[in-house]
Parts: sequence; structure tokens; C-alpha cells
Amino acid sequence: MVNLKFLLDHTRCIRCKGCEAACKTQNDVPVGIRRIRVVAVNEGKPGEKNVPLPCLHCDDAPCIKVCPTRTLYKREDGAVLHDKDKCIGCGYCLMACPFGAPQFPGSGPFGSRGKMDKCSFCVQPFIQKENGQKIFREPIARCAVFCATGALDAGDATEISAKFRERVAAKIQPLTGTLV
Amino acid sequence: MVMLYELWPWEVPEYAPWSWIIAFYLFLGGVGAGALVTASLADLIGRGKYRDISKSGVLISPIVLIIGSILLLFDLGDPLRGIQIPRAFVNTGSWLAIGAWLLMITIILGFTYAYTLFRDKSRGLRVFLAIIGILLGIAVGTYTGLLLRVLQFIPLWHSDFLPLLFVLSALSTGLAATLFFPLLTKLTEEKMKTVHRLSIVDDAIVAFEILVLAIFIDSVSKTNAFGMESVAAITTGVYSLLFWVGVIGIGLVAPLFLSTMSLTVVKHSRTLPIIEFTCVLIGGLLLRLIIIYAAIKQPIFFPVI
Repeated sequence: MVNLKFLLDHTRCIRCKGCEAACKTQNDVPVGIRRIRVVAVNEGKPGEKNVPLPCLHCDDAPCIKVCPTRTLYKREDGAVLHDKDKCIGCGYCLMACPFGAPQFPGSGPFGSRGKMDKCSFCVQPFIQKENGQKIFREPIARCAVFCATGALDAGDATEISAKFRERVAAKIQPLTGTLV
Repeated sequence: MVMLYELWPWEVPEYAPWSWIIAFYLFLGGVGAGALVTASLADLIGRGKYRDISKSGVLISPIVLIIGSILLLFDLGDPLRGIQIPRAFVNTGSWLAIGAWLLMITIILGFTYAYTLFRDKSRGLRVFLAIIGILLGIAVGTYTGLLLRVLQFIPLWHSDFLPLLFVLSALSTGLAATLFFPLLTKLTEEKMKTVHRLSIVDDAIVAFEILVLAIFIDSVSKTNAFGMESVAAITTGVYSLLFWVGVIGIGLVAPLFLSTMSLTVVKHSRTLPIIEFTCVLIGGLLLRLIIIYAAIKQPIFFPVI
């Protein structure tokens, strides 16, 4: 059973924003929407950290629960996808998401907010129909492919967590058991 | 396995797509719900005595709810799809969808009830509609609170006391809006007595609301750092003037004081109850505005490698 997940490593991210650029060119994302954002924490202060932040495709996604129109749904392989035709742009998913992953092209009242858009593990814009049937597109997250430092990785959860364990284990000092 | 955790102090404005328009809607939804409950109760208990009040409430309720729904539609990114309620709102587990259905049913019931009241239809039908009206009114009032309560990463809203606070505020503002129009028309001794009686009911609700508001603020301040920050913004920070003067002073204390005055000192004045009910309405609106604007999203905890 595949369960797609991202691995975000803020110790490696250098905020080159290559992932944002890769995502935008790959998915033809509209202006004003960032499906993946590099968030800087404590910018310019000691202890500054950067983290690339796409949709994390939660197992128990709060956005799916609160969406009134079933715009958001979970695919068998764990990717949380959205059906833009159904979206009414209420903003409830953004209020529920702890990461701010659902993006809206505008803000403010009178229809200017527009429809929701979010990371789709690079499967969604290419849902083509052949002989009336939807193609199951292989999820290859382009941001992870483009990441130069390995701060971002995407794939099956077991694979990803093994990689995460390896990285943490490499940093533990053998005698004291503390982190480097 | 070493797992340290650290807070991520993300910027707040990024997470505030809901603004004054939602606060106005929550207020109007509460007024509509409360007015329907008041009208239904007046019709059930009064046996024709409180006909004026029932008529006023049952007209205010659907009109105010329609204005609120229009505001809500304008807040959507795609209003034309949002208006197709049966087609769009299919997820029955979402409070926004439940609320849209509730609003639609309540508006239809409000107009049906108004028709039976104004055309003097049979009492059996009206009693049936009144009972459903009370249930639907309370449901709409509760839903406005639950809509915010289910958002688990906003400590100010994720409080069990928020729906209760909103229901109480809805009942009191609905009662105030219902009594507003009968006061403007010709006053009789009988009507004045009714207004006094109902303003005692309003006082009881307001007194309970003060208690619930205090418990709500206290419980939120004990959740975590972000709940504390929200509470600090309300009680001592940017919204403190609006809160203490607007919500507590004008919205809760002034009505109690004015009601006591009109019950004991100036018995035949119509100005005092009018000011009292205006104060209740202003307080209800400010309460919704503050609760929407003071919300702070709690960033999630991340493992530190």
C-alpha cells in the first residue's frame, strides 16, 4: 500500500526557491498562488531556519473534513487532490489547514478570492482522458526532483521515513547519544 | 530516539481569509435565529396576546437571514456555484454545508410561518411551525458557533463555550431586534407590559452571557501560547477598547442597567427600551467582529533533527 509523503529537512534547505520555480513551470500555476513555499523562520536573527512547505498530504486531513463541497479528496495512494470545478472558494480549508497549503489567488470579498489551488503531488494538471477514462498518473513531485540539497524529498512513507531515520542516525554521536 | 520540538512563529495575516463580512454574517445569522425563536415562543405561549411581536419577529428573521446569506455569497470565490445549494453542498460532515442547508430551510420556514401568521391560518398548523421554528432557530444559532469551533488549530475558536456564547448572543440579539419594531409603532399599556416582561427575559440571557463570556475567555487563555496571545489582544491589546467598552459596556452592562431603569424609574418611556435593544445589537455585532479578528492560528510543531 503506497502512502505518498513529503520529507522536509530544514537543516538542509538554503532557500534557493528552486522548488517554487520548478513547481510553477511544471504545473502552470496561476499568478499569486504558491503551491510550495519556502518559509523562513526567524529571518535575519540567530537560529534562522528555512523550510520548503508544500501540502503535506495528511493521513487525517482536516481540509477534507471541513470542505463543504467535497472538492478535496484523498486518492488511493495518499495524495490529497482537489477538483477545481466543485470549489466555491469559501476559504474554510485554509482556516483548517495548519500549514497554509490551500492557496487562493486573491483576498477580500465580492468574489475576488477565487478558487482554491494546492499542491497535487504533480498528478493533477495532467488528468487526461483517453477513451473516456481517466489516466492514473504516476506521482513524481517535481520540486523534490529539482531540490539541490536534498531538503525536500517525496515518495512512499516507508521509504521517506527510512531516509529520515538514516539522516538522524548519522547525526547522533555514538558515545553520548546526543545530536551533533 | 531524540525528538526535540520547537515552535514555528509564522506570520499571522497569511491565515486570515475571513474578515468583517463573515463577522457580519455570523451576527445576522444569530439575529435571524433568535428572532425566529422569539416569534415562535411568543406565538406558543401568548395564545394571540403577543401577536405583534410574533409578526415582527417572523418577518425580521427570514429577511435578516437572506441579507446574511447574500453577504456570505459575496464572500465566496465563486458565488454562482455557491448559490446552487443542493448541487454544491454535498459533504454533510462539514458544518459549512450543514449551515447552508439549515439557512435555506430556516428561510423557507420563516416565510411559511409569516404567511400563516398574517393570514390567520389554523392554530394547529402554527403550533407545528412554531415548534420547528424554535428547533431550527437554536440549530442556526449553534451552527454559527460550531462553524468556528471545528477549526482545531485556532485556539480562540476551538472552545466548547463558543457555540454556547453564540447561541446566547443570538437569542438576546434576536429578541432585541424583534422588540425593536413594535416599540416604534403605537404603544399601548398592554404592549408596554409585554415589552417589560420580555426585557426581563433578555436580562436573564444577557446575565448568563456575561458568565459564559468570562468562562470562554478564561478557558481560551489556558489552552496554549496562541490562545493566550488572542486573549491578550482582546483584553489588553488592540481590541481591548472595543471589547471592554463595546462588548462588555455597551453590549452587556448597559442593557442590564437600562432595563432596570425602565422597569423601576421611567416606566412609560419608549426611548429607554429602544436604546437598550440598540445596545444589545451593537454588542452582538462587536462580539462577532472581535472573535473573528482576534483569532490566531496555531503553527504546528515540527521535529528538529
